[in-house]
Amino acid sequence: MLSDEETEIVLAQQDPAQFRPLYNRYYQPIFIFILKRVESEALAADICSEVFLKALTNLPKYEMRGFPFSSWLYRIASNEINTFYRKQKKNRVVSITDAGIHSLFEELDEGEAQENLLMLKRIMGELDETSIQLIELRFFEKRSFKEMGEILEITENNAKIRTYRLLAKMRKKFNKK
Amino acid sequence: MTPIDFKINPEPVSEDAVERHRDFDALMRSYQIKNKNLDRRSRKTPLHRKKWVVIGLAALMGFILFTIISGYFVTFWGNSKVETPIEYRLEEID
Repeated sequence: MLSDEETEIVLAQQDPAQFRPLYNRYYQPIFIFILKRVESEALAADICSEVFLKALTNLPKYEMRGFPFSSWLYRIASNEINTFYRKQKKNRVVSITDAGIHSLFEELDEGEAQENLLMLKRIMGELDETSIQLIELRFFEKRSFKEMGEILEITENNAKIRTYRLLAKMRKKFNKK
Repeated sequence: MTPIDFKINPEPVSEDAVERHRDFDALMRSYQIKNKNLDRRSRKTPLHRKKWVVIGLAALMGFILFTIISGYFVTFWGNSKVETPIEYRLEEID
């Protein structure tokens, strides 16, 4: 038995015009997701329209594998953001909040001094894209491990393990410097 | 190494800002243009991939190869090398 969303996906696979309900539902979260990772609203809008165009073009190939449809859209958005930074050779933007910094430094056993913020910038710059995303999703977007798993298409447990390993690695780097 | 810029405490995006960019009709127009281009590209077969060109070239190469091999045998078949017996050669030296 298909859920409402799965029915919408099947309908959209047969007729692209039926993509509207999915587009309306996910436009805002995807737009915000992109906006947090790029410098301007106009750029976020451009990347977002490219994401939905790719989704619509590749929808006939989409298979339901137990992950929510949104995770597929987030994956496309992540890839588009990566492609943008690779082509433009610009600095990767990470949106940080005071609350996020506070909880991250608490996990890293560090104070919130300005030099620690600079060091965090340097350490995050040495990480690969998935690790940066883990930090962003967990600390600056306050997502649960379940949501992180869905966005990164890994299990909840795996998201947890990877985050804690990454924190341990970052803690070591903080202590070394 | 990915150089990073921090966007500190960004303003939460307003509902209006999102609405301004949401445009399903524009998406459908882009989709139709992209789809038409993909369709046109898949329908147009380049000359070097046309069936009759590929078969014709293969046949021509086969014919050339056959001519070279048969030409070699026609020219050299039966013309065995005649060697001078060793005694004659020794006499010449003397």
